[in-house]
Amino acid sequence: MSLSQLNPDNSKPPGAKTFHKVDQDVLRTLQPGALYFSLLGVCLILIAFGAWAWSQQVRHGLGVTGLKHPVMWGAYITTFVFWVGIAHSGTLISAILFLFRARWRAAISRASEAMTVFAVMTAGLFPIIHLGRPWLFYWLIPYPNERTLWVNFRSPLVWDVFAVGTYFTVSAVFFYIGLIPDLAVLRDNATGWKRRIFAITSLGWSGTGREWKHFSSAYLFLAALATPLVVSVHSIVSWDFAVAIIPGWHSTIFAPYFVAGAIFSGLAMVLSILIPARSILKLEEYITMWHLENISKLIIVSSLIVSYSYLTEFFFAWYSQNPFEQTVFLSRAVGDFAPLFWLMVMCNCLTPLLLFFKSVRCNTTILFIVSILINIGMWTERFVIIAGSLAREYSRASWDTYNPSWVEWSILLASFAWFAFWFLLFIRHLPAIPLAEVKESIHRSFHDHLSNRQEKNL
Amino acid sequence: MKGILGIFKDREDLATALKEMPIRNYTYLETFSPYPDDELCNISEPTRSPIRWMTLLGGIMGGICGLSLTIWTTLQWPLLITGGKPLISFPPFLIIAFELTILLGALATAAGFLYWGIARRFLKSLPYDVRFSQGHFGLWIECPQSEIEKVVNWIEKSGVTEWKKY
Repeated sequence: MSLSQLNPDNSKPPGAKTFHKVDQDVLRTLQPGALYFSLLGVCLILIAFGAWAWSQQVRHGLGVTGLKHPVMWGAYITTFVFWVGIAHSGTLISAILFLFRARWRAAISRASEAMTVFAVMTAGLFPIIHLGRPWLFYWLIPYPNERTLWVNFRSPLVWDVFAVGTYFTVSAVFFYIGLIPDLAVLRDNATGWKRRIFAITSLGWSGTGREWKHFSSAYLFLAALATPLVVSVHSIVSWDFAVAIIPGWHSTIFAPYFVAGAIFSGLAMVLSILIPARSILKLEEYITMWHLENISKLIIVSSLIVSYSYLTEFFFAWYSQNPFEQTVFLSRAVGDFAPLFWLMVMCNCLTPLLLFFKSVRCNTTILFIVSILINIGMWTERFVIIAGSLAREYSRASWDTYNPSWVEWSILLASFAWFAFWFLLFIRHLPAIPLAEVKESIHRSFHDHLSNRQEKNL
Repeated sequence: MKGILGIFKDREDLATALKEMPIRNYTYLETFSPYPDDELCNISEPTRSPIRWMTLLGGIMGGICGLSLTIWTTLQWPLLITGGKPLISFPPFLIIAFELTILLGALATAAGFLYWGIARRFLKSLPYDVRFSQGHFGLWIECPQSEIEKVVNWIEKSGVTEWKKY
C-alpha cells in the first residue's frame, strides 16, 4: 500500500493529502486578490500617518508626547515590551515545541516564525522612537571611536541592545534556513524572473540526503539555541524595570512573570492572525480546529501563570510591609490606574477561563474575540506596570498621572500597521505553511496509520 | 560523470529498492526527497553532521568575545562611579557573554550549514529533476562505465517510475 492509495482522514491533521495537493493548496495562496491590496493600502496609509506623527516629534521634541516627570517611560516603552512579548510565542511554537517533538506545530510553525521576525522588527523601533535624538541611536552599540569611549555594560539599556539584536538575528537566520527547501519548491513551480530569484534564494537546494542531513542538524541546533535565547530576552527586558528601585518594578519575580506574559500575549496574537488568515487563504484543511484548540490550551496555562503572578505581586507588597510598594499596588487597584488595572484583570485572568469550555475553543469567532481581548489586556498590563509605577514614586509631591498624546497613539497604531504590512508581504510571496514539514508529517501519519492497521490484524 | 538517475513516485519503492540493492562498484550514491527522511539520508551520508562542532565552537567563541569585550572596554574607560559595584562586574557582563554565546553559536551553525549543506554540493555536479521538490523521490548511482548495464538491469526491476542515463 502506498501513500497515494491512502484514504483521506480529516480527523487527523493535516490529513492524508498527497504531496501534490499540498503544493497546489499552498502555492494558490500566493495569488493575491482585491482584499489583499486593500489591506496593504490601509497599512501603508497608517504607516505614513505614524511616520508623519514621529516627524512632528523629531521636529518639536518629546514635548509633543504625554511624557513628563515623573512618567518618563510611557506608551513607547509599553509598546516595545508588548511587541517583544508578541515575538516570543513564535519561538515557542517554532523552536521549543520542535524540541519537544510536538508534531502538531508543523502547519503553524512558518507563520509563527515570521511573526517573531516581524514583531522584533517592530519592537526594535520603539527604543529609537523614544530617544530625544534618534539619529544618535548607534551610540548604544560598542564600536571603536576617536574618544575611546565605550558603552556602560552595567546598564540594562545596553543589555537590551544585545538581547534584541541577537534575538532578531537568530530568529531571522532560523526563519531563512527553514525556508530554503520551500524556496526550492517555489523555484521549481515558477517561471521567468521569479524562478531566477527563487533559484538564488534557495541556494541551489535539490533535496539530497546530504543536504537534508545537514539541514536537520542545523535546524535542531538553531532551535536549541533559540530556546534559552527566548527566555533570556524577555528576562532582560524585565530587568530594565526590576534592577531599578522604583516601587512596583523592583521585584525578583519579574523575569519569569514577563516571560509567561510574553508567551501568553504571543499565543493570543497567533490566534488573532491565524483565524482570519486560514479563512482568507482557505487553509482550513491545514490550520485546523485542532491547532487552534491546542493553542487555546497553551493560552489557558500561560494565563493561569500570569494571574498567579498578579496575585504574588500584591502578596509581596502586603507581606513586605513596605509603604511605598503598598501605595503603588493600592493605586493600581483603586487609584487613577484602576480602570486600566481591572480591564487587564478582566482580559488576562477572566476571559481566558472561557477557553476551558470546548464549545468556546471550537468557535473561531469567540476565539478571535478572546485573542483580541488578551492582546488589549497585555498592552494594558505593561502600561499599568510602567506608567502606574512611575506615577506613584516615593515622594508624594512628585506624583502625577500620564495620558499618551495623539502622537503616541498614532505611532502605536502605525506599529500594528507596520507589523501587518510585513506579514501581508510574507503571505503574498512565501508559503505560509512549511511544505517540507507538512509533507514529512503526512509521511509519519501514513506510517502510524499502517502500523495501527498491522497491529489490529495481528 | 557516469551514472543512472532513478525517479520513484513512492517512497516505499525507493526504500525497498535500496534494501535489495546489490553491493557493487558504486563511486557515489545520493538520494533525493521532498522532506527529511532519516532512512534515505543515511544512505547518502551515514556519518553524523559535523555542524554540531561548529555550533560548539561558535558558542565558545561568543562567550569568550562577550567577556573579553566587556572587561577590556571597561578597563579602557574605567568608570569610577559604579554604585559600589566592582569595576569588573561579572553578573551584568555575563548577560552580554550569554547573548554573544547564542549569537555566535547560531551564526556558526548557519555557516556550517552553508558550507556542508550547500557549498560542498557545488563541488559535485549532480543531475536534478524538479519533481524531487514536489513529491517524487530520487536515487543517483554513479559508477564506472563497466557497471552501467548491471545498474540499469537492477533499477528496471526496482519499481522505478522513470530512469535516466547520464
